[in-house]
Parts: sequence; structure tokens; C-alpha cells
Amino acid sequence: MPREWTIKGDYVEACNCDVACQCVWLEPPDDDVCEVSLAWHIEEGRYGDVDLSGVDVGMLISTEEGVMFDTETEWDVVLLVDETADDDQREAVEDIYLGRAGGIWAPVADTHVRSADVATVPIDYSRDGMDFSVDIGDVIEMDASAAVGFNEEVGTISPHPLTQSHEVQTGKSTTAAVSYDDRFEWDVSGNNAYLGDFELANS
Amino acid sequence: METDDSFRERITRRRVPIVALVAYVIALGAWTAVVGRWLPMPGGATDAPMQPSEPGVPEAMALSNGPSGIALYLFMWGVMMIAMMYPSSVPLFRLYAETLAGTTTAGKAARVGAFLGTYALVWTLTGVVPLALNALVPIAGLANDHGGFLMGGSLLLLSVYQLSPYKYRCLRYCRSPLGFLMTHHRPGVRGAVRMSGEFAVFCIGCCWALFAFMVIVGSMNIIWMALIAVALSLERTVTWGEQLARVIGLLAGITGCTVVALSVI
Repeated sequence: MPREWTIKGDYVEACNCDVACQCVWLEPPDDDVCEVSLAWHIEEGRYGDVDLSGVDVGMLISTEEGVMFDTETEWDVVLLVDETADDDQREAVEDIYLGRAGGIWAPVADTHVRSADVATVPIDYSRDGMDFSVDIGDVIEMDASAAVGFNEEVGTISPHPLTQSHEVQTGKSTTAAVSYDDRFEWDVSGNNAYLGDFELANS
Repeated sequence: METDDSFRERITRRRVPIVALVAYVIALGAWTAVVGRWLPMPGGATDAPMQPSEPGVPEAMALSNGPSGIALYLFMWGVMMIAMMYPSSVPLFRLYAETLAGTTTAGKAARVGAFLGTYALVWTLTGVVPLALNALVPIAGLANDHGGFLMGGSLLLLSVYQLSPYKYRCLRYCRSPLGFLMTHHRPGVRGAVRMSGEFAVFCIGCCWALFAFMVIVGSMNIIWMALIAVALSLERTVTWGEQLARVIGLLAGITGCTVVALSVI
């Protein structure tokens, strides 16, 4: 049964690169590996009949050495689903983010994902203007704000793959610490963050 | 559970590479049409003394037959472009189709159709360039009088472009279909048209010098068509593609210098 989906809301990521992370220019990351935590607050969303409004989602990606989007680079992924989500919502989030339901995550899953864990965790996501603060169980602690450049203006990065407009704001983390299952352990505080509104769909 | 079953079904069905098969069959059809000479010649007359594989001949025939000649030339050029460009574009077509999982079959067909169609259309329109050039300077006449300079000059142009940074900026997108998709993906049929147009522009940026050379040696010369199609496909798909592009640039430069030198003597 075909199911169309659409989700939109707030988004923030924080990685090990300096400001701004070069993966969107298909260049090798700092230290040649990517360790990134991503978090979404879905304000409005649906997957078929399932309402996804209000659901929070987290993700960890750790890559092998090399350019993140090079076809040969393999990723290990952890999907973190809000414990307040019901079963249908949890399945929907898994389908979407693990690339089983089309959209940009489908080619990613097909091309890159070597391992994918799913965990249900408490997620505390808050946004105040361009300041983001996300706590995901014992797994992610992430605080990030927009990076302000000349004329006190927030920088914009385009094209960025994770929103329909292809535009996100440049940012910097104050905290970006991750701990999951011994395999995903990093503290990349004070480095790159991309943040802003997001909108994704599969049609 | 019902949702689980339908889900599993979808996973197994995803393994049938329908879009890849369709693209390969269309490309094969295009090659068959070119090799089998099923295409109507722009000039209509097949008993003419001129061979359509000779330099400048298809262009001259098209121009001497007005709008219908030009339309037929562009059609022929479009079929040739499908034959040469579709096979190496399959990885992108396939990845794009995956982003449409969950969309209805009709919706998926419309978007993939728009993607394939726009790509073919943009490449077809590049056929205007050899026609316009030929209207200014008839290639056939030049090839007869100054064949060496013409061939040598086009090889030197190819060499310079193959070794220039512009070539690699475009080739990078053609070589990384996922990279392209991640940074250009847009939803809907209009998104498919726009994305495909952008991809075609990168491909043209990548390959125009090879095609310029092909027009000079004869745009309907099947041997050169096949060689160039293999070269550009390897450039875009194998791990040593960038090195190959440089080797082609060097070889073209050496051959070009030799040809020019020989025609001076």
C-alpha cells in the first residue's frame, strides 16, 4: 500500500567539523571521519494515516574515513525515537528515517548504511529563536546557536540535503556530546552545527 | 499483522530494478535505431553521394531542408544522445526512483518519466549548437580543404577542456549520483523536471568537448559514437574515471599537435 508522507518542523545538527562543515560541498570532513548527531522536532507531519505532529526524532551517524557522500563510504546509524510516540508513530519514524518509505533517506539507506540500531528514548527538544537545546536520554546532549557573521546576520548554507528549500542556517555548538553503546562516543562541542526549519517528503 | 506483511512485500519488490531496466532498454532501442539506420535522414534522399557519417554531412543536409530538416536532425541527435548518455546515468535514475517509494505507481511513473524526458530533451536541444556552427561555417567544406587543421584544432580544444578544472567540477556530480541527489533533490513532477535539467547541465559541462570532437569527425559516425560513449561512461562510473579523463586529455593533446604539425608540413 503506497503511503505518502510529509514532515516539517525544527532541525539541528552538530558535528566534529569546524564551522562550517564541508560535507555539503562533497569534501572530506575534518579528521576525515564524520561523527554527527541530528535531531528533529516534527511540528506537523503525517505518514499515510499516521499523524506525526509533535514527535521528536534523534539520529547518530558515524562514518568510515572519506567523503561522507562518496558511494564507498559506509555509515553506522542509530535512530532514536521519542518514548512518548505510540507504536504507529514509532513504526512510521522507522520507515521514514531508515529509508524504507522513499524520500531522501531511501538512497542513503541503499548506498551507505552498514548498520542501523533503533532505540526508544526520552527526548527533550527546545528551540528559542536560533538557540537549540536537545537532550536525548543518556545518548545526546546538544546545545547549538546560529553563527552570526558580518552585519550581525546569520549565515545560510545552500544546498543542504535535509530540507526541501535546501537552505539551513550556519551554527556552532556549545555542547555536542554523544554516548551510545561504546561504539558511538564523542564530544565535538564548539564545532559545526547546521540548524533551522526543515521540510521533507517522499513525493 | 497486516502492515508488517505489506511492508515486507514492498522490501522484496524494491529489489526489482525496473527503472534501470527501462533506461537500458530505451538506450538499447536508441542504439539499434542508430546502427540499423532506422532514423529518417534530415535530407530525405538516401541515394545522395554523401555519406551521413562524413563530417558536416548530416548538418548540411538538415540546413538545406529547412524547418523539417532541422527537426529531423534534432530528433536524430536526441536518439543518439539517449543511446550515449542513458547507460551511464542509470545509477542516478535508480537512486531517484528510490526516493519515490511510497508514492502511487502513476505518481512514480510520472516523476521518473519527467526525469528521463527532461534529461533527453535538454541533450536534444544541444543539437542546435552543431547546426548553428554549420550555418556559419560549413564543416563539410572545411573538412575537405583544411581537414588536418580542423581535426587537430578540435583535438587541442578537447585536450584543454579535459585538463581544465571545469571538467572536474562537472564530472564530480556525474560521478557521485547520490551527492547530486542529496544536494539537488526536490519533490514533485516539477521537482523532477528541475533536478533533471540541472543534472543535464552538469553532464553537458562534463562531455561537450567530446561531442564537439564527434561533430568534427562526423556526428553520425558509429565507430566514434561507440568509442566516445564508452569513454564518457568509464569517466563517470569507474574509480579511475578522473585519471582516464586526464589520459584522454593528454592523448588528445599529443595527437592534436601531431595532426596540426603534419598538415603544416
